[in-house]
Amino acid sequence: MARLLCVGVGIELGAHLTPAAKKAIASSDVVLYAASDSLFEAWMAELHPQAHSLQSFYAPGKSRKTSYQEMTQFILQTLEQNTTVAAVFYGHPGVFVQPARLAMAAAIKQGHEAIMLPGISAEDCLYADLNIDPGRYGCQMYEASQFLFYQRNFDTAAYLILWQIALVGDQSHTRFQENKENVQLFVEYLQQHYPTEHEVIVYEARASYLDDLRKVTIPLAQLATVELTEKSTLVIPPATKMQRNKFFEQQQKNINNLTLIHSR
Amino acid sequence: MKAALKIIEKLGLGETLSDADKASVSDELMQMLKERNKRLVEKYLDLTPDIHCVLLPADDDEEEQEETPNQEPEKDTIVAVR
Ligand SMILES: C[S@@+](CC[C@H](N)C(=O)[O-])C[C@H]1O[C@@H](n2cnc3c(N)ncnc32)[C@H](O)[C@@H]1O
Repeated sequence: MARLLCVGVGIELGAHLTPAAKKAIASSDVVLYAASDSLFEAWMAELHPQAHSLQSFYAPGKSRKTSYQEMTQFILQTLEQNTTVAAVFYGHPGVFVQPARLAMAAAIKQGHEAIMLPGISAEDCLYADLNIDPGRYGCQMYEASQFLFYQRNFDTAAYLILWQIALVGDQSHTRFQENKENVQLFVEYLQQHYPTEHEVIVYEARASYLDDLRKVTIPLAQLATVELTEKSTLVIPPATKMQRNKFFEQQQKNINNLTLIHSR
Repeated sequence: MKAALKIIEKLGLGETLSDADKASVSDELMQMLKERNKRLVEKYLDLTPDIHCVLLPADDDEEEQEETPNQEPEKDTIVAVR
């Protein structure tokens, strides 16, 4: 039985590496990794003498679904030939990372052990960089395209976080760049729920000391005018007030009245 | 490459660079690092800019949905907890 470690190394190169992740990487025979940009990738390559990038599984015009299936197979093959393999992903390996989930499920099915080690995700950085506490008004998050393809009962009184906003509306799974027409369609959909002038935030945490934090605050209607990259996350702050739960208030009143009657 | 990455890591952590750190890269590269000029640093280190983030394929097919909200996750997807 071999052991697969799915390890997260955080969003900012070096700065977010946890002692647990460091130890897991050092104790592995082989490290397979997927980064967020080329500098991050170069840094990951130095993490272990036997470190191999998963980047070659992407190709222009190739569906990401295929890429992730191939990555999974490769991780599994590597696991068959070793005792401990670390599959290392930027951010948190359990947050929107299909190959990590697929590889862990397949490894367990084949009788191996699979453990996930959390990392600092873009979500964690967002709460710090944008001064948002998800507990203040509540917070919902969706993958942007999924949010568009399905009817969701979301709450405009809570924060709405949309991941992979650059690829919104892409059904081909082959795109890596934004499609302005799809972004505009998305804006039109959101405008059915939010005022046109409602301010939204395009957010990118810094991936290394060489980056600046990117925070672009614009009215919803102008979203398509902003450059969206693979790293962009869209944050929509609450637009309406929380409504009190009348049902609960009434029930509580009834209970209090009953208690009063009984205590007399 | 390794030396430059170590410097980026150290600066990211707010650490002061030692003389040995400074001497480990060329003056030209040190200047680019100080100026936080990522493009130039990448070029200098001969890094390809075309790296893709892991991007989830959005589910556009209902039949592919694995779980409905009230379902327990499948047994084989439950992993060891430390
Ligand atoms: C497939 S997800 C991977 C998320 C990653 N596993 C994590 O834990 O943050 C890719 C999406 O994460 C978000 N993301 C990745 N890097 C980011 C960054 N530096 N700043 C803000 N959001 C980021 C973007 O929404 C991007 O489209």
